[in-house]
Amino acid sequence: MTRWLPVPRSLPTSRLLLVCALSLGSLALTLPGCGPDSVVETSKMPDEADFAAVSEALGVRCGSLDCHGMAERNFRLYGRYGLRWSDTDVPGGSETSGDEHHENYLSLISLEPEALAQVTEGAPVTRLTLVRKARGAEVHKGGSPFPKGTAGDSCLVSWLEGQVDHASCSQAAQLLQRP
Amino acid sequence: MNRLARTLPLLLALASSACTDPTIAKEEDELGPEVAGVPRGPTHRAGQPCVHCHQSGGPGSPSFSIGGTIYQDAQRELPIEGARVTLVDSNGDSWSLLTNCAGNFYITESDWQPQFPVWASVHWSDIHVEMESPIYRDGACAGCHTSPAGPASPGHVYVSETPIAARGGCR
Repeated sequence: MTRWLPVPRSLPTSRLLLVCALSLGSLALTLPGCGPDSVVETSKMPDEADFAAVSEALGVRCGSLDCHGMAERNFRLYGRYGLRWSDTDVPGGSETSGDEHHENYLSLISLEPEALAQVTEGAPVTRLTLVRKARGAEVHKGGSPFPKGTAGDSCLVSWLEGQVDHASCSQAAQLLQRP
Repeated sequence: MNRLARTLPLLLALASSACTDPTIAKEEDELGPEVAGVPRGPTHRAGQPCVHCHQSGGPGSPSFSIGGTIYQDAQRELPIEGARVTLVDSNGDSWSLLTNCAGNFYITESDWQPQFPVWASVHWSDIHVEMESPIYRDGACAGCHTSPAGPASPGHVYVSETPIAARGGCR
């Protein structure tokens, strides 16, 4: 059923015509953006299907409340040991949820999408600031949570290269134990 | 002379603002004023993030490496006195101390500069509580542990889920 918006009776005819003209003009300006001539670039991103294993490792080592488990962070991570996505969850409460893994995925691929697309197409993983910081190859206040060759590094890099190393991810997702 | 007199206050204001870290100043402002009747010192600002002011470049002196407030139970913000807080850093070095009447404890940077991450535990009577995850970088317990608990905070640090017969309070 079509609904018509009521026109206020007090609106003068000249103003009504002006509003109609402006509306049609705006519509005309908008239409070319939706047509076949518009350019929408798409990039290949690492797969989300196996990201949960990587997200678990990132959550434990990077996502604490005093690090990337903060709403203020560009690379914001949700998870059991940090910020929670659901209003009813608390840090340290229930396991990291599917929604949280999804949000972490979006957070990660939004960091450097062009560089990430290049890595997905075969460029070196060190093109990513994420990898350089995690390895400690670039200044990072949180140190080097995933030094090169460790389980965390293998987990992250394997996902970026298209084949998740689940054993490394499981190992990296263990809470650090006190010495 | 007249021009100098007009611009001098502006220059002084600019110079003084340049010496204040705006992030620390903002955090300090957000904490609000001191509680009436509580003198500045080891018992003030219980439950607030001590290290945010007591850090290099901050308004608090001395600088702390770690500080916080421990409460008796999960439901009430009753401080606990005499709880033993033990911290172990990633080198295996440890530091242990007791909470004061406000539930506060702190370690000055001149006493100990731990290598993060740091693992924390609290002991009182026959109760021993281990913090599940390590502290990665913020030495202010209340930087994360604020009340009430919610998606961004596990709530205040407490010893027992249920009320206990402990000492606490400075009056």
